Amino acid sequence: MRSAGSLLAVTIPVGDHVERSIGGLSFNLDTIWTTLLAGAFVLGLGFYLRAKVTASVPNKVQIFWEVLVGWVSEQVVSGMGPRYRRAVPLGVTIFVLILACNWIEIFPGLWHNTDYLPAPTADVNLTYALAAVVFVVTNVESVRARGFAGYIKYFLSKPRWLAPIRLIEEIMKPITLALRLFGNLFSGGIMIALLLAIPIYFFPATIVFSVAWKLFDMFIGVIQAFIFALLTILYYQFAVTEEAH
Amino acid sequence: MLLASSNFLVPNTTFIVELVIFLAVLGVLAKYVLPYLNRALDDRQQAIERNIREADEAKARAQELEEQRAHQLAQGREEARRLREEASKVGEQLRQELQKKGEEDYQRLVARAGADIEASVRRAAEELRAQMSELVVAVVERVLSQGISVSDQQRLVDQAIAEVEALSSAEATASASATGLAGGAGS
Repeated sequence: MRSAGSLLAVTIPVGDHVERSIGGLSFNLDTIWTTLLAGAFVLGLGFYLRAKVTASVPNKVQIFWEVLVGWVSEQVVSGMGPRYRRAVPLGVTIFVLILACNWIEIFPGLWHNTDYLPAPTADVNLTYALAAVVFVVTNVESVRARGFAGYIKYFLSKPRWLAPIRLIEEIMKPITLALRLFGNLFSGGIMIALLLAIPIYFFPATIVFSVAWKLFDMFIGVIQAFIFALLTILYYQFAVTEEAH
Repeated sequence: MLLASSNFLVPNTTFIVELVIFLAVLGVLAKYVLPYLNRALDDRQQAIERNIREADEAKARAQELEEQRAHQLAQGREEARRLREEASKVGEQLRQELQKKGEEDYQRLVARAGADIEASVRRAAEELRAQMSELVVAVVERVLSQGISVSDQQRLVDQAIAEVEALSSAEATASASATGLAGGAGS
């Protein structure tokens, strides 16, 4: 007979994925299909916009895109000037794709990590990929803006003894960017798992807490997408402006 | 596996797939979606600018028309004032001319009346003188033809004198009437 302690003990899956090995390479299939789904949704919204776009009275989808593009454009132009408008698509795509990825876990479940469609942003593979793009783009833009010598000169500028710190800072930027997003969404999944682990005789409370947490999780999803996009623009700005790197 | 996947903070090959998916979404949005939105936003901005410009132009035009209207109104008022003054002046001139003409006509009529009266008086006096001459001749003829007594002679002389006096008084009355008529017209 199981004791009361063992009755309450549950195993929370952490970092568990539907993993398949193809040709010796591991793929987290759940992350891939949810990312594909989110990407398809974003592109669907995009092509719907393209089909219905108008200069007169916009529909709700166009209003969403206009608000998003307007906000990113304002950040870019006010921080870097109009000639860096090419940064706008990156900021817009990062925000909208992360938001779709974060909100895809709205469908609850018990199958895997408590969700049928776990947020792909709760997997470091996506967040690292996003951060890698930001890292590459910002450093390439930095070299383009001040030349390779100027780019190196920043790291070696006075006081020289800060050079390693500057290098570490530059490397840590994308890592913190990725882990911040991952941590927030990952912990959201664990919270749901914990709530669902509450014994069955607390059933109503479990449902109430789960729903409340889901709603809060959606709010976190917006905030995290906003932070990621905003930091991307700021890093871009640091890379191309003279004062900071 | 790219790296050991026992630690969930370490990425695996999924990283590459995610990178490709993100870049694909970025590329499609940047090339096939956002330019259309930007064009619509630009068109709307241009339309708004055009509308504002047209509204400004219409406002300026309205202001210009208002100024023109005010100017024309002032001109009209000035013209009306001028015409009124001119009409008043012409009226006064006409009045003076008519008055002058009336006075001239009056003087002419009075003069003509005076002349007519004088002519009448003269004519009457001539007629009187003629009648007196005829009467005297008749009296003399009567005296010479009848051989009258002294008393008859005296009576005939008195009768002739009385007739002459009657004629004289008639002449005087006629002359006084003519003078009175001329004097009344002159006043």
